Amino acid sequence: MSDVTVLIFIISEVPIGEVSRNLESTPGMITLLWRVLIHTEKNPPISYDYGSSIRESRLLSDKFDELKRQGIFLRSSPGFYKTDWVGDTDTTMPGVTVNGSEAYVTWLRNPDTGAGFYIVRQANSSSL
Amino acid sequence: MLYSTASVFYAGTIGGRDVLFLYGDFNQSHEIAVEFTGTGTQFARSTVSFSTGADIDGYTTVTLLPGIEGFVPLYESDTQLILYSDSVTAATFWAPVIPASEGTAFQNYYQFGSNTTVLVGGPYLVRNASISDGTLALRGDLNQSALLTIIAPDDVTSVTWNGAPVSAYSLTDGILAGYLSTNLTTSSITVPALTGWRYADSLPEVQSNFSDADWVIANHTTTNITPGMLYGDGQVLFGE
Repeated sequence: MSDVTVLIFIISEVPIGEVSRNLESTPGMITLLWRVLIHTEKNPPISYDYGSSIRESRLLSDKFDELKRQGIFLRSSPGFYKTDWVGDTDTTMPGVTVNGSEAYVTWLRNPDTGAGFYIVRQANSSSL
Repeated sequence: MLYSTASVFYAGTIGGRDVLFLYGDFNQSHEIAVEFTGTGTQFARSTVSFSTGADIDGYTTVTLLPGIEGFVPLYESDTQLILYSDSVTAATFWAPVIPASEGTAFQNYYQFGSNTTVLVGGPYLVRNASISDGTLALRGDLNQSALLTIIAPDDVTSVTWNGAPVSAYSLTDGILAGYLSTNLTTSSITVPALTGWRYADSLPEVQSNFSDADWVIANHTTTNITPGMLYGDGQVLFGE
């Protein structure tokens, strides 16, 4: 079977800004970037398991690796589990200035700890 | 840590040390501003440099140049462990939960019953881990021989893999390293003889000695099933 190239966009979390190990007490800024994962396999995903992180053959896929990286990061930031939406680029965010229109920012805040999270992402797949 | 352009893989406390594990793509450079605590060692190399001189507000800037491959400790002290790797190597790490003591509610669930975890890098799959008497017992699968890297509390001095001891040495305080080898070949697998089958013939009526005397004769004209036969000439083909 010939090699098949599958283009998969996977959101990758790249923290930029103030990220402290004690994430409950300081605001953190997390940037979500579209991360293009060129997926070339000799055994391409077959129809029933397409997109699954564990393939039908019970082998782990590249998606498993990416989800594990993100999952352990999320587990390391427990303040992120409970957040209220404060504002985003389409509404008013007091004290936040976004330069340019290629980034879309959402501001979340944990109501119990006060930790703030800025989720920044590309506005669309061509604003790379 | 003040900021990092590298992604965070793991941030937490292992054995009294604050452990921060960062990762980034092999072909990218990164910059991290950290406040180092404790008396420790900065591991500089050609691609890793630490700012010297007057630190800004106590923060040291660590510059990582492109081309870093593999697992690279950055700083180790008795209170902190700061690690870095490329993304592919970070994905070979596992963070299994160490179950809390027997009887604790949700002892196997992280952040509910147990707050202890270790970092294990190398195996294809780490299924579970537990610590007793200074031994870290790991269970998991390998698909090839692998270097084993473990970040565990200091009182862990020996490691077992699926019950077998692993010769582990201390890379630096807080990091254990070892080697897991597989020597499984197809010829070393013995398949037991599969005997004692139970089976039933699924088409007995093709046998020449088959008798259909036990079959129900299809000559019913009435039935209890409502509304009965809607089509046909009145013969009831239901079983009853």
